[in-house]
Amino acid sequence: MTTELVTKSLRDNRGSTTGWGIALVASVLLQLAVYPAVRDAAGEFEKLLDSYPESFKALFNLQQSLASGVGYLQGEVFGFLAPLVLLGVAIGQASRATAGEEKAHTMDLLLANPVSRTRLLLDKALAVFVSVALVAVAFGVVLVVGSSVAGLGVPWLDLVFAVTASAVVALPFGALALLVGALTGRPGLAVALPVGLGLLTYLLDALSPLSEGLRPWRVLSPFRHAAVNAALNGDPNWLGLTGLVALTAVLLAGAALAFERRDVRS
Amino acid sequence: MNVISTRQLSKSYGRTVALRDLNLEVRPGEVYGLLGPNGAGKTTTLRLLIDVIRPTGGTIRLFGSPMSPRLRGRIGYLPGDLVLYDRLTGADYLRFCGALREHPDLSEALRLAKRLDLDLDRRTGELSKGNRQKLGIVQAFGHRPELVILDEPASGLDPLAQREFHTHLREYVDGGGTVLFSSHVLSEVEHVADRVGILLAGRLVVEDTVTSLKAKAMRELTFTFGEEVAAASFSGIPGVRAAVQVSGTEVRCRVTGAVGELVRTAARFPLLNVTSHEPDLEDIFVHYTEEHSDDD
Repeated sequence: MTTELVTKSLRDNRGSTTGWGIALVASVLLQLAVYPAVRDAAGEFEKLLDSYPESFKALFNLQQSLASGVGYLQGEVFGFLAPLVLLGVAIGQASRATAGEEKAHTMDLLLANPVSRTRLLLDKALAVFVSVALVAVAFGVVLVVGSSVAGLGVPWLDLVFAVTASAVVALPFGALALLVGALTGRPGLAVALPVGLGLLTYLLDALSPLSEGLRPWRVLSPFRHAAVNAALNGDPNWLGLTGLVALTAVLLAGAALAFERRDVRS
Repeated sequence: MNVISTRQLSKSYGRTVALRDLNLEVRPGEVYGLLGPNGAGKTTTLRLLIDVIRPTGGTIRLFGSPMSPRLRGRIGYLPGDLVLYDRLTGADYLRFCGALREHPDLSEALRLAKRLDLDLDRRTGELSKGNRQKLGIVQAFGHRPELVILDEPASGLDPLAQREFHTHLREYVDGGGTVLFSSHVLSEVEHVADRVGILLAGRLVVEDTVTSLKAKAMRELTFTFGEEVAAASFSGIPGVRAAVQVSGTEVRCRVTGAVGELVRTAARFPLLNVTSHEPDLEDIFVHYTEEHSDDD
């Protein structure tokens, strides 16, 4: 590891990390603040939700009663907000890791230093990982403390499991952004492809319970293997999460291999 | 063992040949100037050497070995398209480079910055093009490399900074360093290079010392006579490439090699004056460009 490279990347990404982090933490606090009101009016909400189509509820992870802490967090926090932010951090920063330097024309001079391309790429990947972890930790702390204050009644360990699962599912998408960036040197493409794939696999996982035709394909969705809902219920899918970490490692190895062979854009 | 040694080095982008069969030898302690018009392959050559692009053919040896990250610590590089991190100050940037090169001692960099009158406390984004170029030069020499590879180093520098930079180059070489630089500014190459290679359309068309190139180069003699003399009287003389009638009594000849025969012929007429135009690299450059396009 080259400390200087990692710290510089972290510094470069400071704005993105704090921006996404504050957005997530503030949204979580807001959701938790309104929880007591939602719980008290749960009967009305249930009626409203019953009128929604199943596909809509599946899409926003509204399968359990909003009155229960777990159901509320599934629907309001882990359903859409957490993956959006954590994937945003991972993909945004990973797409700029090498491709951003190439586009800015700073890569020539950076590579003229006695640092191998693989080292450079892995150091930048580490910086992205640290950013994702920082946002996840802030998210976790606020969630654990806020849930207890708002009286959600969800065990803190289950919350930690769910936050971990949400963060881990972001990793392969970040690694994919890094791979596309390493292959092409184009940060735009390195954002577009993982975001598109993220949306597609998210929908695949969310909607597969409604469609027989989709069901066999849901194995392709990282969100299925992360199983955030199960984690929130105290039963994380360790095997699935390990698989996602392994997939991240494979994608990173591919990125290093691609970057070692390529001509840097001029 | 030469500091830089390439064999049949080639680079193509699809069907476009950027560099063809380059055999380049740069010896220890010399300043080698790579000269050529835009698009001749100068930047391609330097980027191949520094290993940011990969050859489609041939080999590169630096200090006798293929390029490796470790070897890069012994080399300083200034890219032609210099972009620095806008948010860092010059000093921050040099510290960053120093850390990556495991050469935290900034004394050489600070000395050179002072010499070039560069303010290191300003963010690079606020620097003028010339000052950014100075910082690019400073970082290339800052870790006391054994070889520096510089792509158009003097571009954007004011004459004073250019002079300081050229003096620094000489001192660096006198201290045992080796320099390969590219330029399309002929006077610069003429001023600092020990040897010159001219690249045209991806091919090294000539390589020689500046002195020897000049000796072989075409020069121009202008004769002024006391009566009308026809330019045709001088065509056919060995070495004379062209004889042009400037006015009735004035003839300009372009000649390569010895001028004895030409001068003897001119002396048969009432000769009032002769002026000789010393060839500079521009003439040499034009000469080889013409010769090269004749080949095609």
